Amino acid sequence: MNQPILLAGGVNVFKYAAPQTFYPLAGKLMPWFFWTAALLCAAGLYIGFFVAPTDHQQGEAYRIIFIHVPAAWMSMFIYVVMAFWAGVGLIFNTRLSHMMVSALAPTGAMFTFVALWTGALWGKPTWGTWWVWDARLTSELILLFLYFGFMALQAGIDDARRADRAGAILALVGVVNIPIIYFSVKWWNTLHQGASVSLTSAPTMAATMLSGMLLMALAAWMYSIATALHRVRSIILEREQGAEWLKHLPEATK
Amino acid sequence: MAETPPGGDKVNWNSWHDFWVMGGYAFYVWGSYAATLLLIIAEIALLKMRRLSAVRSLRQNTNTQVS
Repeated sequence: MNQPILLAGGVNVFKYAAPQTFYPLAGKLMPWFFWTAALLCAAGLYIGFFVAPTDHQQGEAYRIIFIHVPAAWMSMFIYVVMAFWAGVGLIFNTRLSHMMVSALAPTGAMFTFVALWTGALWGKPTWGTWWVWDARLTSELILLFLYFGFMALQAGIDDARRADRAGAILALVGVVNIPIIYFSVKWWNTLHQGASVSLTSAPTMAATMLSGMLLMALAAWMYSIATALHRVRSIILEREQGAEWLKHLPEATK
Repeated sequence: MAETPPGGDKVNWNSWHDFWVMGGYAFYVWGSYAATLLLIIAEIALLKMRRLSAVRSLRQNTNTQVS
């Protein structure tokens, strides 16, 4: 069960599956993603506040959309990516996949909290309540608990391999919640409005509002990649302690 | 769909005061943005701290094994 997998160094796809090769690559890519995120965020906020017009029904309160929707999308997407890497880790027994799952969880939890928080602050002026136990809000809250549960589970198991497997199973089981969140506004009669943007129909919002929101969504995407790469580098250092290649890193000898 | 060009005559806000008041929704809008900003700052600070402690223990390991 516990034999370490032999990574095929010659095969391109697997080359970067080795922490040793991924670590410097992640270090090089990380600042690019971070600064792209900052630029996209600046552009998105500019359009969101200075170009996009006031909403006819909601006045200025709708401007919460520029963080609420991207954060909610990201909260779901990060979980799907976690489940994907969890599956890859379980099937191929690759260390780096499991590290990636752990690296994504805190950022996913952060975006889930942001989606809930901004949703409450948006719900109060538009629905008259901070919170309601409807399908969309409840399933998003369950997502937050899944992220917290994943992190607590990993922190609670000392043996890294067992923690990885337990976490991966939780991530995979929990992924059923994602379609429930996404389709909740269709399946149940909820207070939460339906999707303003979908793959199958034209968006029901002004073009400038939509472009501001999409820029912010891209920024959230880039930010998530940057933080995941940053965190996975720390996890590699923590987990690979004692490995020979670590001793030759510039940061080890400085 | 006549959009004002960026930097052109402002449609949304006549003054910075207008901007901060946010049509009466300042608490909700800025409450959302401030919390998000704080969380992002906190996450980046946590990332840096984790990195620092990981590098520190890496150096300790390397040094004790060399000497």
